[in-house]
Parts: sequence; C-alpha cells; structure tokens
Amino acid sequence: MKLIAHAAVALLACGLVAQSGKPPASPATAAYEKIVAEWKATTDAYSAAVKALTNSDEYKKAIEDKDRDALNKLRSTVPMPDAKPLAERCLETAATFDGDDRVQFYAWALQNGAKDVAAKAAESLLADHVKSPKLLSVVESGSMLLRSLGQEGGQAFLAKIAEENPNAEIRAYALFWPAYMASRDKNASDEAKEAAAAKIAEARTLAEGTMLADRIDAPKFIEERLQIGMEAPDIVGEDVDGVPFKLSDYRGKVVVIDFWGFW
Amino acid sequence: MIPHERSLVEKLKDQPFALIGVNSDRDKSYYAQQQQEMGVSWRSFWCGDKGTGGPIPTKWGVTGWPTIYILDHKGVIRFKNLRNEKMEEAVEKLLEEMKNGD
Repeated sequence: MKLIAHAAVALLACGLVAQSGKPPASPATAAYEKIVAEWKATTDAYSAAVKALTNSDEYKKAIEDKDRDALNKLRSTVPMPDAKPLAERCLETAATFDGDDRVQFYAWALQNGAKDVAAKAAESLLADHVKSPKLLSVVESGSMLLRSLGQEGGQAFLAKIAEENPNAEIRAYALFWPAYMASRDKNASDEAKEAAAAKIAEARTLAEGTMLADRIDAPKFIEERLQIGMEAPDIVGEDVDGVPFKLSDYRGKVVVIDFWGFW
Repeated sequence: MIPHERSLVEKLKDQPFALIGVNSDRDKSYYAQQQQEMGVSWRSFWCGDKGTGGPIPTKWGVTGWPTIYILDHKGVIRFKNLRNEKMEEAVEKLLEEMKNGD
C-alpha cells in the first residue's frame, strides 16, 4: 500500500513537471531569477522612459535649437537606474544559501554593482569558491570585471583564480583578460607586450575546444579564411525559431551575410 | 540599414539571392516584436543569449556591427562591409556575372 502511495506521488510529481514544461527551479535559482527579472524590469522602464523623452516635442525642440542646457535638464528627468541596492541584496541573499548556490549572487553583484559592493562579492568568491566550476560565468565577462573591480583589484582577483581553479577553461579566461587588456594598451612597453602575448598563448592552449580558443584564433581566421577571393567558411547554426540551417544551403545564390541586431 | 535591406530583399525576391543575417539580439521576444514592427522577412542565425559574444561572431572575429560579407553564387567572398546603395550595386553585379556564366 505504501509503495502504491509512493508511486502515486511520483506520478503526480511527473505530471506537475510536464505541465510547467521544465522542472521547478531550486530555491536559489528562483531567488536569483527574481533579482534578474527585477533588474530587467527596471532597465526596460528606463529604456521606455528614454524613448518617450526623445520622442517628446520639448526634446525635439531642444535638439533643433541646439540648446545644451535644456537638453541636460530634460535628460536629468530620466536618471540612469542604480544597480547598487540590488547588488547589495545579492550579497544578503547569497548568505541565506550554502556552498556553490551562492556563486550566482556574487557574480551578479560583481558584474553590476558599484565598486565597493563588487569588491565584497569578489572577496567572498575568493575566500569560499575559488575552486568552483561556477566561476566560469564570472571570468567569461572579464572586461566588465576589470572595470567594476578596477584594473589592480580585477587582476589580483583573476590571478588567484588562474592559480587555484582546477577547470582549464576558467583558468584560461582568468589568464586571458589581463593579458588581452595589456596587449591593447598603447602605452605598454615591448616587454609588457611580449609577456602579454605569452600569456595569451598559454590561455589558448588551456582553452582548446572552447569559444575562448575561437576568440583568440579570430585574427588568424580572418587572415586565412575570410579574405576577398576566398571561399567563405560554412556557418552551421539555428535560426531564430530554432530550425537548424547552414550557410552552404544557399550555395548557387548570391548571398549577403549580415552580422546585425535590432538593439 | 534595415529599411534598405528590406527593400533589397523585396526587389530581388525572384532572383537567386539571399540575405542571411547573423542576429545578435539576446532577447528572442524583443526580436519577435521588432521583426514584426520593422518588417524583417529574411532568415538569421541566432547567436544565443551571449548576443554579440555568441559563437558565430566570435569565430568570425566580428567586433563591429553591422559587419557585411557579400558572396557570389560559388560561395566566394567578393566584397566586405558595403552598405546600402553600394551593397545593392555589388549584389546586382554578382547576379549579372552569374547570368553571364562567369
């Protein structure tokens, strides 16, 4: 009898899962998604307000008159949203969960929060999660991280991860970003540029088979495969409706490839 | 860009021509809404939720948008980054070439 009851509960659970289309999110993921949704609502409202402002007669007139003071005054009526309160809530929420469930909250605070909040998030990540596989999402957007933590803080943060995280892709990103920034620095000395190139090569080896490898290889790919007169490499992917297709499906037609977006 | 591309696609709809997008919008619902509003009929690869940092633009080293490649019917890259009227002229030239069996 007990067994049947269990089976019934299991079936019921299956039914619930099937109904919602995906398994229910863990409490940590649900809390995280709520924060992300809240921020999206805030930024969407901001975009709508900016759009309304720029479409207003007053604004158009100020543009026409080249009236800088009037424009500044109008723009100040739509302040940029501040992520700091939500980033602070991320830190508080992280503390209510255990282990790696905390990482996503710290990652958000690190990428969106003001410098002091970002620094706190970085500190917690290094103290308790430096070996976590979930750090991938943190190190992937390294340029943002170097901005929010500052060059020095960001580099120290990434150096520790490069040293201690066991995941090759994570270490690769942690090595890559500071070296990439250095390689683009116009004021860098030749030695610094050489050191950066060596680090990027090291990151490339670690990144084999990942998108970072493609990124590092891109200048070579352009040089060797994307010049005028060369046969274009195929693109295999999915369209916006999720239907798979290939660039080579269109062989026999003149094709314009357009990297674009509405944004 | 978009109005011009729309008119090019419309104008050449009976020709052996295709405009293939590699779209880097992150949000599919925004895409769907804009697609309708702007009358976008051409097919695009979707770059996933990493948007401009998705796999296709990363591999092709795209760092500016729009980036344009124009291929002839044999799949050979013939022009890069021509826009609007210049894009149209290039496409017409390649269609002409194709007709003449070059």
